[in-house]
Order: sequence, then C-alpha cells, then structure tokens
Amino acid sequence: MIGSEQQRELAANWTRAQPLVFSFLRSAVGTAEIADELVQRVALVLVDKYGQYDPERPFTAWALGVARFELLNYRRQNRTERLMFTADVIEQIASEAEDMGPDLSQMRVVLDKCIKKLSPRRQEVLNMRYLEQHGNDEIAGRLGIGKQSVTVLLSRIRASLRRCIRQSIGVGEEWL
Amino acid sequence: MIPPSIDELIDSYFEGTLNEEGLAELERWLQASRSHRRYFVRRAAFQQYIEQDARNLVLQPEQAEADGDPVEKFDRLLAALEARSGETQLRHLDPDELSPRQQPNKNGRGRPAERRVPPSSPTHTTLSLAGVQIGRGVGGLKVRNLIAAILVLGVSIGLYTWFAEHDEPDVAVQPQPEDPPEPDLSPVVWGQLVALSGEARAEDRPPAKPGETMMSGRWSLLSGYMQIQTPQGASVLIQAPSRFNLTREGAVALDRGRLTANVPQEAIGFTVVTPAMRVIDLGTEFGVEVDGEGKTRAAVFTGLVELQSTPEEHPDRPETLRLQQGYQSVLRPGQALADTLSPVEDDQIPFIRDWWQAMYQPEVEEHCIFLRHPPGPILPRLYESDTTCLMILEASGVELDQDVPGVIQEVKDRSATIEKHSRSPLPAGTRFDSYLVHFDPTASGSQQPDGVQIETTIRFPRPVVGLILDNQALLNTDQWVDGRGYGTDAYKAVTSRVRLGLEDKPIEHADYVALSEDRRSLTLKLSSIEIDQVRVWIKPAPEDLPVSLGE
Repeated sequence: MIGSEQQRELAANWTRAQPLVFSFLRSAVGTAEIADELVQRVALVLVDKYGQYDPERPFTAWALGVARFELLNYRRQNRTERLMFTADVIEQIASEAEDMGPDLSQMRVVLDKCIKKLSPRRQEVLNMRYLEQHGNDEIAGRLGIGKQSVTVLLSRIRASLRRCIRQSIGVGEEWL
Repeated sequence: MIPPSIDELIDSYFEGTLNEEGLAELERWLQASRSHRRYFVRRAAFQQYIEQDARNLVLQPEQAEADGDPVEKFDRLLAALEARSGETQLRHLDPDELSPRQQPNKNGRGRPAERRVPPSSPTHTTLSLAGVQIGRGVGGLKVRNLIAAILVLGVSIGLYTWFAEHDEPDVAVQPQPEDPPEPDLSPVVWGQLVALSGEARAEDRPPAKPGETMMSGRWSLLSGYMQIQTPQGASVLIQAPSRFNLTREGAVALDRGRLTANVPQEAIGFTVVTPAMRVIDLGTEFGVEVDGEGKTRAAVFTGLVELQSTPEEHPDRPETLRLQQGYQSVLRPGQALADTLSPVEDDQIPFIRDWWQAMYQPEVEEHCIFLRHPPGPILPRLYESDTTCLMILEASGVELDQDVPGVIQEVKDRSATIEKHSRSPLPAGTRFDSYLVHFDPTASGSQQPDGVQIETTIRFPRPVVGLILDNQALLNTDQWVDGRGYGTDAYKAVTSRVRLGLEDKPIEHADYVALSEDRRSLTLKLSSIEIDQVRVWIKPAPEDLPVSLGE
C-alpha cells in the first residue's frame, strides 16, 4: 500500500503522463473503447507497483513501459479477434511517443478554441457523433442528408480542426 | 506532405472501420519513417481530444477542463470519495466482463456520460467506465481500485463533475479554478509583400498581390519567388515551392522550401524556425533550406547567426552554436549540432539571394558556367575551354518587330527535327529574354581535337519559346538582342535535331538539344565539330519586379 504522500506524487505524475499513455494506446489499438480499457489496466498496475518506482527515472517512460506490457498482453489475448499492428510497429510507435508530451500539450491548449470556432452545425455534428455516439446512419437521418455526406462532413470537420491547430501552433502539414 | 489516402486510412483506423488491407498499407507507411510514426501519435491524441472536447463543449463549457493543480484536484477527488467510503464501492472487473464488444455502451468510453443519470436513480446506480465501475450503496472501499479509478478519472472532468452535479451535501466540492486566458491567435501585421513572381496563397484568403500587407498565418508559395519586408527592415526572399508560417512573434516557421534573409542592424534577432533548428540572426545575410523530412541547411553569406537545436539524446539540454560567414550546417530533426558544420562551397549553395538571380539565373550542371556579367563578345580562343561551356544572358524584355524567319521553331512534336529555312512560328510582338550558350574548345578549327564533347542540362527560370542553332540564323537574330548579341560568324553552327523529353535515348556521336516537357530544361550535347552556339529565348521576366539587367 502506498502512503498518502506517494498517492499525491502518483496523481501528479499520472496527470502529466496520462495523455501520452493514452495516445500511445490509442495509436496501437485504434478504437477508444479498448484504449480506455487498457488505460485503466495500466493505472491499476501503476498503483500496485508505485512502491517500486524509482523517482530518478522519468515517470512517463515508466508508465509507457507498463502500457507496452499491458498492450502486448491484450494483443496475445485478442490475437484472433481484431486487426492489430505487428509487435514491431507497436514498439516503434512506443519509442516515438516517449518524448512527445510537449506536442500533445500544445495541441490540447489550442483545440478547445478551434472547436469553438466551428459553425453551430458542425458543432452539432460533433456532438451527435462523439457525445451521443450516434452512427453515421442516424446522424444522416437527423440531418436529412446521405450517410456518405456525413462521412465526408466529419472528415472535413476533422481536417478543419487540424488546420486550425497547425495554424495556431505554427507547424506544417507533416505535424498533424 | 501526408498523402490524402494515408489520412483516410488513419481516419478509418481511429473510427474502427479499417480493413486488413488498409491496416497493412498503414503499417508499411508507419514503418517507412520516424516522422510518420510521430504524426500518427499526434493523430491519435487529436482524435481522443476532439471526442472529449465535443462533449465538454456541449455539456459543460464552464467546466470543460479541470485545469487546476493536479494535486489539489486529486485531494478533492479523494476527499469526495472518502466522504462516501461507507457507501461507495469501486470494483475492477475482468475486462471481458465489460468488453465493449460484449456490452455496447454508447456512453462507456471512459467518459462521464453518466451525467445523464437522474438524481433520483436507485442507490445501486453504477458508473460504468469501461472496466472500472463505481457502485453506490454496496458498501466497502477498496483503496487500490479507488486510487486507480481516480487516476483514470482524475485527469478528465468526469468524477468531479458528477459529484458536483449531484449536489451531495457531504461531498467537499471546491469551485473550479478559472481557465487560464487563452492565447490571442488573431492575425497580426507581419510585413509587406514587396514583390512576387508566381503564386502565393494563404488558407481561406485570396492570392497575395505585390504591395499588400502580409498578415501572420500560414502561406504556400506555389511558384516563383516572393519578397517580404518586415517593419524592422528584414528582407526575406522565398523560393517556390515553399510552405511557411509567418508567426505572430515575427518569425518565419519554414516547414519546407528555401529562403534567404537580409537583416539590417535594426532587425537583429530575426528568427527562422524549422523542424530541425532555430536560426537567429545576429546581423547578417543567410539562407535556410528545409526538405520534406525536415532536414535543414542553414548557410551564412555574410555576418553571423546563432543556431539552436534540441538533440534527441539530450532533450533537456538544447544546443546553441554560432555560425560564421562562409559556413553552413546541415541538420536533421533531433540531430546534435556538432559535426554538422562545413564550409560553404559556392556551387553547393542553391539559394537565390536577390531578384536578379531569381529572375535570370539558370540552374546549370557541371560542364557549363553561367556568367552574370559577360566579359564581352566571345572571340576565338578567348573565354573558351575544352571542358566547359559558357552561358550568358544577352538581353531581357526583347520584343520581335517582325516574324522571324530561319530555324527558330517552337517544338510541338516529340523528336521533331528543325529544318533549315522552316517557317518561324514566332510572330512579331513575341517577347522574350535571350541567352547564348557557347562551347568551342580552344583547339578548334584546324587543330580540332577529336572526341571533345560535353553533355549538360540547363534549367531556365521560365519556359523556352524559341531555339536558334544555325549559324546564319544566329547572325540574323542578333538585331533582336539590342546589338548586344554575342554570336559571331567565326563559329559554324550545324543544324541538329531537337527532341522533346529528356527520357529519349541520347543520340550517339552527334550533337543534340533536347527540351523537357515543361520547356524549362534543356539538355545539350555539344562537341567541337557541330553545334558551337545555341541561342535560347525564354518567356520574359515580369516587368513589375525590383530588378533590372544592369544590376
């Protein structure tokens, strides 16, 4: 059992590391549901093992190491159920993710403003897709447009948001 | 540039609709480059963030992000849960038990969608978070799971918001700290577009026009050159194709392309940012070039610049280096600055430093030299070499006052042969800039050496509109280059074949001239016994640029 001081440390460390861990897991498995599930497994392991954590080492690297392990476990258990990247590619992604915390923080800061710049209709589409979790069929029905138009519209919204982020940060298309 | 097809694959991947073939293609793309993998991780974060923010925007804009001190937030969460310790249970379920595939739950993406649960819900209401459930009224508190749940939830807004909304009297809820003020991202005046040849575009704006005020933001120079001057006097000459951001702070973030900057004392500190380094001017003229992978070349023509980079091996220890006149650094993103320095060789520098160069200087390969200031008419045994051809800009802005007879021909067909005395397709009124290419080894004439032959390609700044290879025609067209023609009847120019397309097989043992499909690249095979001089007429430079031939 870790003490209250360690709990505070762990909370602070995890707050900083979690976006990166999640992004790595999301990169590796694709869908949010599974990434969420794995993030929680990682959190449990971190709590269990925090007493063994060496504060001299970067916490993010430690957390990512745990995430890799949990991911490989998941991959073994679900090998036949879903399409996943090979272990090599997952490892390569993990290696790159380790120092990308500042990139993600920058993105996070400006995204809110970019979303607020969207037209009300586009915000409504985001709402239906990501808050209410409706499929494209249902959104199409609500908006009175075709399903393919919803796909295109969502793609344009995402592209518009990425462009807004790039402009705000001052980076090129290769960045996001 | 990320291919649209890859972006579509990535979208499908995160939407969960990618098939096996698509996954294999995406995997190959990821394995091809580090930058691809980093792009992909950012896309994963982006996808996650828009899913979270769409919810926050609609439901609780005032509490969209718990940006307070994480430790304080953790304390609040812990206090809230401890206050409920007699009635709250946290249970970690087997993942299979709550597998989203088995229990489709539209609100179960680890988000606080349980806000929809009405306050009057039964006391056994369960907060389902895809693997961790918080049950009420079951009794007991498992601290390990509690902390883990807090870790999972604490970085999002969920649990705090949920407790706040349910307005339980025994829950210690603190007001959310206010969000920090968001940065002002509206465009600012960056400088003035002094001159433009070609097309420059910013997203969501009409194409730029010379004389316009340039606002901060992202720009693409699709063709030609553009020169921007800052209020402090720094002059930036950008060469297409380039993509760059004029930042609110007055810097240029060059994603890809090439620029030169001439910075007076008043503008010292002017900065160019690339994926690999920051180039900070200390009073100088310098050039920066960035390729598609972010590899950057910074070269100093005069003065001094400071380079800054962040090596991958020591991300916490940025490097700084001062680069002197005559030196360059070629650096990949994440590479250390040490050992990247080398002297600047004139012929290695692809930079255009002024408008004269931009408008008139052709790109030449080995075996040919372009003379900016020609020495005068080429005379036998003067300015000649048996290894190098000379190239001269004879005249600019010439206008034909009559149809031109002879062997000038606008090539229309592949492998077309220019016939002597063919009818000229160049009518009166045609405008052009005229170049002369000369090759005749010093031992020409009676002491003609056998086998002296060179092959070279010249790329002109604008398309070729006419070629003259015949000796008599050369003489006949001198009048249109304002009497400054450098052709002389001392040279015999034998008509040769002109072919379109550089991919054609070379003609063995014969001089030839081949023009590329875009009419800007001319490949010449010249020997001592056939073509000695070629006059090349190209589309004229725009008239409204700050340049003249006499510069």
